[in-house]
Amino acid sequence: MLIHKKLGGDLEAYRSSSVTNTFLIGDANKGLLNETAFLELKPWYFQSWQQAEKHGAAVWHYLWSFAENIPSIKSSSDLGLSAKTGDTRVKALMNGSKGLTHDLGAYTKKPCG
Amino acid sequence: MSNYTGSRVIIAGHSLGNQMAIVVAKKLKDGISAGDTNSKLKPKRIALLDPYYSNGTKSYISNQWTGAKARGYVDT
Repeated sequence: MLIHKKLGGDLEAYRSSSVTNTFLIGDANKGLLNETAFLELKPWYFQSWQQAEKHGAAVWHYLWSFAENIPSIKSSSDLGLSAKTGDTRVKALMNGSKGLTHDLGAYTKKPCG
Repeated sequence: MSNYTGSRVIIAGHSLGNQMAIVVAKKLKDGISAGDTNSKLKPKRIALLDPYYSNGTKSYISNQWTGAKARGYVDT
């Protein structure tokens, strides 16, 4: 059951803050996120209380990543998720059972490089 | 964009906008299937950027949660 058949495009999700997954604030919607190629971002160049800033970080991280190398995955030859990741790889991530976490460079604003 | 001739459409939505991105993608797909939307507009990618769904049912979507509504558009 390929999810992209319903919408016509492959689905990717990038989470950068706790705004969206703290039940007091919003619905984490894990059911939907499990159907995406998912990447947890760590914008740790913002402090823990700067959730609004972290929330916004997903936008320019994604847009900036069009110009950066696709991140690699530790101890794997597979590529990670970014705006530049190929469609075949995104489909594989969508249909997988795990999400990814962008660990390296957590204290650096510029993604990859 | 009815005259769009490009090869790649990406729809990205941030926060609440992710819900709009999903709806737009669905409407494009439905329109293409119905034959009244340029097929070149079919998105290759739908990017949800720190997507947000509020808690609770909403009367304007038949008392569903927005997250459930979005899942309904995505699930086959």
